[in-house]
Amino acid sequence: MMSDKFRVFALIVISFMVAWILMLIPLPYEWRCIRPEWLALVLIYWIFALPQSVGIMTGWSAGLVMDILNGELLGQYALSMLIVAYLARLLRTRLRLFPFWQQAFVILVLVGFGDLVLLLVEWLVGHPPRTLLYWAPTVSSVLIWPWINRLLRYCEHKAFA
Amino acid sequence: MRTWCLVALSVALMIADHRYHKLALLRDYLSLIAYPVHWVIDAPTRLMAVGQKYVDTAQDLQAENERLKHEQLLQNARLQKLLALEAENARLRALLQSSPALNETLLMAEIIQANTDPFVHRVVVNKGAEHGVTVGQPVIDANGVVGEVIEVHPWVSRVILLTDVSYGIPVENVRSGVRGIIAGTGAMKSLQLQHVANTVDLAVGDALVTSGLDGRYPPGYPVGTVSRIDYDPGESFARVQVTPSAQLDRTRLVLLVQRQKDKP
Repeated sequence: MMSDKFRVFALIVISFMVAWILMLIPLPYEWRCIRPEWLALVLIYWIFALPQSVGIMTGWSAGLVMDILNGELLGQYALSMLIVAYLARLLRTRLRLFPFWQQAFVILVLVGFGDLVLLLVEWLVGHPPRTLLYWAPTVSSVLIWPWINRLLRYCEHKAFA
Repeated sequence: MRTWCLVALSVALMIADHRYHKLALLRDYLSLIAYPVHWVIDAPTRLMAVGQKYVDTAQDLQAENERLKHEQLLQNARLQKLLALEAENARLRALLQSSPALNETLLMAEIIQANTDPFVHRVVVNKGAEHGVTVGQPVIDANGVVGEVIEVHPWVSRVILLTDVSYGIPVENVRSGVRGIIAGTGAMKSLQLQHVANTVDLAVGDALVTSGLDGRYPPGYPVGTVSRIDYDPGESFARVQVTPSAQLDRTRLVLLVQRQKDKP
C-alpha cells in the first residue's frame, strides 16, 4: 500500500511530465501560435494547492528542464517559471477570497509576467518577435485554466482517496 | 533570499550561454539527454504517418502511383536537358578559364523538433557531427532554401530557418539580375527584400534565387517569389514582400548541402 504522500508526489511529477510533453509536441504553425503555457499552468495549480511541497525551487527546476528539452538559451524558462512561482506564492493567500472571474485575472497576471520575462530575454538577446500574436498563448492559457484546474483537482482528490 | 540566488543563477547561465558560449560541451551532453525525449514525443506523429499507409485505399494508391509516374517522366525529361546544359556550362567555363565549378553532395535529414515558441524559427534535425555536418552548411528542401546549420552536436544539429528575424541571405532576381538581401520577418510565410531602391527593376512574381555571393550558399537555389511591392514616395526604399519557396512549416525531410571543390 502506497502512502498518500508518495501518491501525491507521483501525481505532481506525472503532471509536470505531461506539461513538458504538451509544450514540446510538434504542431502546425497556426496551432503553435495559440499553444497555452501548460507548464506555467500546472506550476500555478500546485503552488495554489500544495504550497508546502511545491514552491520556487520546483518552478525553477521545471523551467530548467524545459530549457534543456527546448535546446534554446539555457536559463530563460527557468527564470520565467521562477517569477511565476514567486508571484503565485504572493497572490495565493488572497486568491481564495476572489470570485471566479477575478481568479482568471490573477492567472492572466501570472502567466503574463512569465511571458514578459521570456520576451525581455528575447529582446536582450536581440531577436524579439514583432507581432502582438506573441500574447496569444497568454490568453489561451487563461481560457483553458478552469478546465486544467478542475482536472488536476479531480486527480488530486483521487490520489488522496 | 533563495529567490534572488536563483534569479542570479539563471541570469548567469544565460550570460554564460549567450555571450561567452562557455556551455558548448554541456549543451552537447544535454542534447544527448533531450534526443530520446523528442523521439518519444514525436512518436505519435510518426505512428500516424505509418497508420496512414494502411488506411489508404488501393484506389488512392493507384492514383498516387499514376501521378508519381507522370512526375518522374517530366523530371527525367528535364534532367536530360540539365545534363546537356551542365556539360555545356563546364565547357564554357573551361574556355573562359574561370574558377572550377563547385560540386555539391546532399545529406538527407529529418526535422525532429520545431521550437515551442512560434516566433523562434529554429529546428533540430537528426544529423550531427557524426554524419559530417558542419556549422554554416546550407539546408534546402525539394522546393528551395530552408536555412542554415547554426549548431552541431554529436547526433543532432540545429538549423535556423530563413524566416527567423535574425537571419538574412543574399539573393538575385532571375529575370533582371538585380541583387539584394532577403531578411526574415518572424512570420512563417513572408520574407522581406531589404534596401531596394524605388527605381530598381522588380515585379510581382519575380523568382529570387541565391546569388552565392556570401560564399556559403551555392548560387541558383530558389529562395522565394516576390508577392507584393509597396512604393512609398516618402521613403527611399520600396517595401518588398517575398513568399518563401520552401515549405517551411510543412516539410519534415530536408537536405543538407555539402560543398566540395572539384578536381581541376
